[in-house]
Amino acid sequence: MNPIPFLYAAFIVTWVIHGVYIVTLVTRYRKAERELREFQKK
Amino acid sequence: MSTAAMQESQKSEDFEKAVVQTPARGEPKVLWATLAKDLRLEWRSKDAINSMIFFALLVVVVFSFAFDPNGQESRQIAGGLIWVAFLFAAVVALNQTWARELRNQVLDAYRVSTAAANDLFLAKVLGNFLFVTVLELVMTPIFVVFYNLRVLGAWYLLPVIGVLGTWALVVNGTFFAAISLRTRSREVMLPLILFPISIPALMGMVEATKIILTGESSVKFWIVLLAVYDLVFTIVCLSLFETVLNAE
Amino acid sequence: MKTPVLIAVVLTFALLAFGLYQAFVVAPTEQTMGDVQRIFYYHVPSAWTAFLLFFVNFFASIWYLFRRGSVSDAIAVTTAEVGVVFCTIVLITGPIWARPVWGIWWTWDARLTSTLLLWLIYISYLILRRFSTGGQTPVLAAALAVFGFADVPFVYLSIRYFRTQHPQPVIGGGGSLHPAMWHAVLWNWLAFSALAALLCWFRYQLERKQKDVEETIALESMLEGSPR
Repeated sequence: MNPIPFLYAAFIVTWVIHGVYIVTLVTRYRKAERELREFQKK
Repeated sequence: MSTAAMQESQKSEDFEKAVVQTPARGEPKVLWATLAKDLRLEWRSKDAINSMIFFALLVVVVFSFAFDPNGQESRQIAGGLIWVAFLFAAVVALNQTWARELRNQVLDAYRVSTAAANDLFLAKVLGNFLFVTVLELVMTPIFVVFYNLRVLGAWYLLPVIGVLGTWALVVNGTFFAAISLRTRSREVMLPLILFPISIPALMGMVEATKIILTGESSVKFWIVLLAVYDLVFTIVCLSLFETVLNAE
Repeated sequence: MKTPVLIAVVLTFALLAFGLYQAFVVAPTEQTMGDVQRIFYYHVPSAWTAFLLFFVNFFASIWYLFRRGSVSDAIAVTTAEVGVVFCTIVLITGPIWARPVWGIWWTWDARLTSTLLLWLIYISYLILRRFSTGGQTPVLAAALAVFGFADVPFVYLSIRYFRTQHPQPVIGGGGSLHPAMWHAVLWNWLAFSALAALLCWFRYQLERKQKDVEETIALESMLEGSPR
């Protein structure tokens, strides 16, 4: 079994996980901002 | 509401109101009164005990299909099987710990009374401890028969493991049952928060039981671990219970 | 984005890039395992960062139980969530490392198993926060956090002893480290700590924003006087 693909996989997975987390943070933040605007409009 | 439930509710309410209004802090009367009430109610209906025993029995039977136990092999896995069965059955008991109190607004009565919150907590823990111990005493002979177990090690240490392990499950379980009261999926939340934290204790119970059954090595480490675990978490529970009770 | 934040982001990126350079170029190739051992430089610093975050969560929870401030509660949920992210990375890079080296995806290795337990404990914390109804969630969660952290020494001891009774392959790699390897580990730890601080900061802003929404809703229903 060639170990090198595993090496790259580990590093890539790390960045994918951090990236996905940041995306969820941004999404949730935008949703909260939208909700705040809607409630403040009323 | 059925007659039995109405009677229970009324008796429970009257009893609690009478008890929580009078004693001062530090008096152990509340503890024993609550414990006695719980035991009496349980003795009449035998709800919890029956469902626990049946559940544990089911677990044993299902596992016996998964693992085909014979001789040496059975001694290796029996420790794990026994404690898994006890753990699941204990959750049945723990889930109903506070149900009665919730139904009859007893918790509110406790919050405004001068009775120490820890008295209520210890009463519940002792009640659960007794229920689970009864379960274990009933199930152990059944296990021995089903898996043809013979204890090769220090059999007299098995009750020690039983007491320490049961206390570990019951003290944290009763506390987390109180935390789960105000959550969605209350019955699922309890095992969900209880199991991860209990794993070191579970490891201790399972390994110690296995070592005693197989007579391989010394259980001293696990016994000490369980004892310290029990001490530490009992203290944590007693320190935080009042906070949690008032938070509901 | 405000200037200090932008500077922090750039700095963090620089540190991470430098850490990557250390891990792939500067650190020498390990003798027995070969280049795949370089996963170590991401696996171990992530673990240390996760532990640090859970440590902060413990103190924030205790502080909350004493003072009941919304700041300490926000810090608690923030560090728990970001800690779980780092913990997840440890649990995934571990098996990715183990597979080519040992031929198996998982061993009940001390570090990996302890991390798994920690992960389970803090996931249960996050689930409690999500499923709890009523306004007292922070108190209950803080209580659970105290239990969780009190459990850590028991987790460590029990798994260590279990492993000496049932020896398993060690994923962390035993033995001493070459100094250049130590540099790679420490630089990456610094980089990941900076990243953790940044993620916590963003998560904290999200928590504040969500609390604002809740307060606005509460205020609205109070002023209107009629149920929605």
